[in-house]
Order: sequence, then C-alpha cells, then structure tokens
Amino acid sequence: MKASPQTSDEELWRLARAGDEHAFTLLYRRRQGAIYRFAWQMSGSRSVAEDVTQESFMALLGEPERYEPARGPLAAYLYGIARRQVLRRLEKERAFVALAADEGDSAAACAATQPVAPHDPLADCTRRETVAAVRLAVLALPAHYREVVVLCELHELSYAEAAELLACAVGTVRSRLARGRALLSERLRALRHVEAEVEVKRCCA
Amino acid sequence: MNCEQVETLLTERARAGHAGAGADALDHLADCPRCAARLSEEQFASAALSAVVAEDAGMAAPAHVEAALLVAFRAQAERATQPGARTAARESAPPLPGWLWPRRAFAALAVAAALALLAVAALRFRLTPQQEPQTAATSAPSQPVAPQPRAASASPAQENKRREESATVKAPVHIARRAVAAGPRAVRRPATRAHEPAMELASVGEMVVVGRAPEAESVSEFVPLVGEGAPPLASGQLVRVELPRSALASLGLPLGPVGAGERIKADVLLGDDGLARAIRLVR
Repeated sequence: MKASPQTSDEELWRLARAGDEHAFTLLYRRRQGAIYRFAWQMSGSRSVAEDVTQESFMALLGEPERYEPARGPLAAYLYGIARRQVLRRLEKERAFVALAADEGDSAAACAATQPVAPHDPLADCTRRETVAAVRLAVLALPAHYREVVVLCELHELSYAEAAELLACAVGTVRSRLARGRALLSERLRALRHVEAEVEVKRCCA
Repeated sequence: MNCEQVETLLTERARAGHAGAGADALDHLADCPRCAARLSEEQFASAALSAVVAEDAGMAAPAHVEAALLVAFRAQAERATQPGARTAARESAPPLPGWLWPRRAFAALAVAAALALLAVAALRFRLTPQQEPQTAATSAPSQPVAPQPRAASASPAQENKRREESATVKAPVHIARRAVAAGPRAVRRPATRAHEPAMELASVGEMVVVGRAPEAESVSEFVPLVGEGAPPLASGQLVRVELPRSALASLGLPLGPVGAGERIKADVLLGDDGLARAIRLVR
C-alpha cells in the first residue's frame, strides 16, 4: 500500500516502520501541528514546544514497539508522550513566563502582526489582546486544570478522548474542565470589563 | 432549579449555547442575576477560547524540527538495514526464552542480597584492626579511595547534620570496585563523579580505581559473610566501601571514641555469583 494523505495514521506508521520515509513525513505533517500547539499552549514557550514536538516523534521512532494500535489511536499516543514531556518540564522549571518574551507585549503584538480585518484595526488589536490575555490566563491555571482546558477547549477533544489521554474518568475531566473554566473566567473578568469599555467608546465615537 | 444546580450546568450551557438549556434553567437564569452573570462570564470565556483556537489554527513546528526528525528516521532506517545492527537485531530477535528471565531475576536478587549482606556485615563486624600483609589469594593490593572534599571550617551544627545525613541515607558513600585480576587495567572514572552515592555496587560496568595502594595500608582480617554451605569462590571482585564512622557507630558498632568524624574504609569480597563472601576494614 502506498502512503497518501487519505491513509490512516496507523497505516502510515506501519509503512514508516517498514522504512517508508514518505509515510513518516505525511504522518509527521499531519500530527505535528496539534502536538506543537499543545506543548506551546501548555508551556507558553515556543522553544519548549519545538523540543517537545521533536522529542515526541523521536520517542515514537526510538521505541516503535511501544505503540500498540489496539490500545488507541496514534494521535492519542503522541498526545500522551507530549503531555508527559511537558509536565516533566513544568515540574522541572515550575513556571514558564516566556510567553510575553515570545510574543512581546500586547501593543507590540498589535503593531507588528498582520491585521486580519483591515477595515477595523481597533477590533483586530482588541482581538489580539484578548488572545494574549487568554493565553496568559490559561498558563496561570494549575497544570491539571490547564491540560483539560487545552485539550477540550483549544484542541476540541471530546470528554471521552481527553479522559483516555489523561487516564482518568470522564467525570473527572468534566469537573476539572468546569473548575478550570471558572478560574479562567475569574482571570478574564478584568479583560471583559476593558473590552466592554472599548466597545462603549467605539459606539460613542 | 436552584443556583447550585444551574452552576453545575453552566459550562455545558456556555459551550453549547442556549440551545442546550432546559426551560427550567432558562427560567432560573432570567430570575437570578448572579447566575446570569456567571453564564455571561462563561460565554465570554468560550468566545475568548475560540479566538485562541482561531489564532492558533495554522500554528506548526518550525521546519528544522521536521528536518531533524527525517535525519533521525534515515539513520534509523540505515541501521535497520545493516546486518548485525543492534536495533535491527533487537527488533528481529526472538523474545527471550522463558528460562532466561528467572536467571535475570536471580541475578538481580543476588545483587540485592549482597547489599543486604553488606548491611549485616556492618552490624556484625567488631573492629579489631591489625597490621596484616595482603592476602594474596583473595585480594589485590589495596587502594585508597579519594578523600571526600569537606568544608574547611564547618560548624558543629553543620557537622552533626552532615553526620546524620550520612548515617541515614548516604551510608555507603564511596564505593570503588576493581576486578581482583584486573589490577592496573581497571578503568579510571572522572573525579567529578567520585563522590556520588555508591549505588554502583548493584550495577555492572566501569567502576573506580583511585590511585595506587600505599605500602603501609593496614587491614583487618577478613570476616566471612557466608556459611559453610556456600558454593566455592571461583572468582570475584574486591569492593572498596567507605563509610562514615558515625554511621557505623549509629548502627551499634564499638568503634572507639577516636575520630568520630572520620570515614572508615572496608573491602568486601564479592563473588561473581553476586554473593558477598567476606569483609575487612582498612586503615
């Protein structure tokens, strides 16, 4: 069987194990984005995200026999590796505050990035500030809430998928998500007031 | 429906929108400003998170990550095609026969038993050091263990703390092992690792030989650690152990009052079968 974009992850991996570089490349390109985003959203550091992405696939390459298709999809397996790597780093370094350094302050972010809505630069700037504030709020969550919020909200995994990945009950995921979102809402409360004021000023103008 | 019940549903309702809300919940939200505010917050959080999802949608690892992985993939594929390559051999090799696992387990148990015997020996040993020439049959020339670097002026409190730590955790602080017959060919390990807790006793591989034995080193007699029924010693290794005297004293050994802060060296004769056969103290 020849590797193609329609080939399943598991089949691509089987072909890659047999030495098919094209299959490995397809598999990597299909899954690297999610792993990279997950690591970045969990750590707030692009360099950590790069390392975790690379190490996750290296772990897959290095110990191919550890992945058993019968136990779940390859994507979940990769998430699991990435999660362990991220948590290990979080445990080691306790806090990553590189987000601001990576992204710059919100004003700089507004000025430097390409506007998505060229007709409304203020809205674009506000949106970027919101995104930056949400990232910081997510990073400020305790790790066990953060990973649930990242997986269920930012990666749009189902409760069941997240529960399998985190090796916990669906009810645990549900309760952690509720708690995580409540904490997130608290942290975003100030931002919400600012946005409301901006909206009022715009309306008045 | 009360506030508590609505609170448990807020996340779901915020994620799903009002479409998922029952009539009773909507009634409560219309009547309760606090719950309505909470729902509003949750909806704001959902919108903010959605903005992050949209922002991150195209995010990808840099190209050099893919390049590095492809290099690793090619290297691995190349190794796999080489006959006799370790990886290929491991992957193609049949699983270990069932009889080999018990032997491995036995070896691990033997090492653990040797460690246990060391502890027992420390308890049993009575220090009566005497000048004695080396016993040629069982020992190579004794060799000193590098001295532990210490602070030049440690306070008594610090010294006591250090002793306590040594007695509880780091009792066998230094172990230098050398093959009985290996002598000068034994591998010298970097000095930076010489102070590590000496769990190497249970491992195999490179161990420390520090310097050459001084001529005037005195040792006690070997005290046997195994009974008459033990298998004969075909070959073995002499393991140099360094213990703080305070640690031995804390175990009840009558070591005398002199030099309570010193470290005591001991040689343990360790058979290749993993059994500790005898122990002697070194001065």
